[in-house]
Amino acid sequence: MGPTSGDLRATNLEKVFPARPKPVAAVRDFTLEVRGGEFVCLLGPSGCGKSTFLNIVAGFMPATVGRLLLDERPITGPGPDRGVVFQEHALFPWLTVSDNIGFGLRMRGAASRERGVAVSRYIALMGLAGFEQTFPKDLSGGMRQRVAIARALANDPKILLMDEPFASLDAQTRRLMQDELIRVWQQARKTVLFVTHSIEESLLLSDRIVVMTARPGTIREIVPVDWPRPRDDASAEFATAKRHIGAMLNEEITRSFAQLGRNV
Amino acid sequence: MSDVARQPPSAPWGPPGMIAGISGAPARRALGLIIFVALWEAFADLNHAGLRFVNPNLLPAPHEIIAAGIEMSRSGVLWADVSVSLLRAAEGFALAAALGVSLGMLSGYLSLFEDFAGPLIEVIRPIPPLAFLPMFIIWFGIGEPSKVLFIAFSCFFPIYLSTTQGVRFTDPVLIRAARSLGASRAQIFLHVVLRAAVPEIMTGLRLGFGMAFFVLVAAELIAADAGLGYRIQEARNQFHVDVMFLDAFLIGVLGFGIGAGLRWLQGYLLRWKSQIN
Repeated sequence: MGPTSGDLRATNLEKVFPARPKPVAAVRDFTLEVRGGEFVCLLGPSGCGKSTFLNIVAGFMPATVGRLLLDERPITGPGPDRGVVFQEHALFPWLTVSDNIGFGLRMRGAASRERGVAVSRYIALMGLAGFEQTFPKDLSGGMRQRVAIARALANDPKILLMDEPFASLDAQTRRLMQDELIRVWQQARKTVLFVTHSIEESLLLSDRIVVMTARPGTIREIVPVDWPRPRDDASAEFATAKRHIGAMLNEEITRSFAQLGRNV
Repeated sequence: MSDVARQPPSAPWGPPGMIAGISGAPARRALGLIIFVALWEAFADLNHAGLRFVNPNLLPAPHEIIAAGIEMSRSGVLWADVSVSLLRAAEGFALAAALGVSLGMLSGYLSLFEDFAGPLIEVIRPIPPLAFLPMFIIWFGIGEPSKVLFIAFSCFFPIYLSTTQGVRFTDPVLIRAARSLGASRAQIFLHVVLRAAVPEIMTGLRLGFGMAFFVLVAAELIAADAGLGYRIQEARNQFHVDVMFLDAFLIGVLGFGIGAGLRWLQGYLLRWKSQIN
């Protein structure tokens, strides 16, 4: 893996969407530093702006106010230094597994030999051997997300942005993919920014959990999770942390319902 | 495509009443045709033999039509007509495909172009193309250009419209994915938007092809000196009903054959797409 750093620094970020009767602030006063190689989960009630923040980091939309730096360089648009894994796999249905994984390298003009090497490496890493020539329609949901992760990693990005990537998977597959992701992350040592609304998922995966408030989303509390992996979701510390975060989230969900009530 | 292969021949749910030794969809399909032709032959022969349900000159028997076909194929008229007609259809269709796909992509991708050209196309499109045939003959004479251009004009619209739809409704998340993988604008157009539009483009091409055959015959009926449509018209004047039937069938067979080829191509190009059944 290349000389990765992947430090992300957001300072006083704000995102306002034009809307009627008045503009809506999705994210406000959002300041966060993520160190290179760190695994950070963004957790919050739906509509709290966690996906908005991820989309700004991905470069799909600009922030209204604030600074956003990846390794000290401002983010101005989408780029291959930030790999994105979407909730719906977003694979190119007309390309085989291999061609999906090699897509980024191909677009960037990599020689076909180099591409072949990278593709084989990520096929092996994500446990996709035997499916090289399969089209996405013939893969299960979990396999599709494996390909999506491999596709993002094959570009050798500095940071991996994951927007509820396992939300549409069944419980067992989800658990399996979480373990796989940690294994791959430990090998690849990329920075990961992972959006989820599941407390368990964030506790199983991350180094730190950024708990967000109801809209406009800002940081309510950053919970460090420094237990070794693999983590035991039946442990006492797990239950304590889950209760603590759950209480915060409940307050925020109540607040976001109250907001809805006002608006209706 | 092949429901035959998936069904074991002795499937208990297979259709009843199959003739021993013949099974599967192709055989069933052929059987329908064979029965139809046999009934026709019997009816026409009885009719000729003196029952005289209708004037025998108006209803040739299948064997007479086949005989007419053999004779015309010996004299070379048949092949000349077929090749003239096919060439016209192919030229007109190719022209329409090139224009329809490229302009359709432009209009699906650039809303400026769509604003500009959309209303014009929407006004012309509902007019049956045949209404323009006299104009084409006045403008381009009775030679090949008028027919080729008329065919191109007629099949342009379905191809253009389908392409526009296909390009416009590309899944935005795929474009985002491509952008974050480092694709440039041109690459996104070429490798995502265009690829995503292939299903609609193929549908447009198939519709356009049907249109090409439809108007080809109409154009040849009115202004031509060779071709299957022309030959039907000529046979009408000489009261050769068998030739009229023969050429009409040939048009059907050719249309079916090329249509099947396009269906196969579509299936091949879209093998990545899930299909019902």
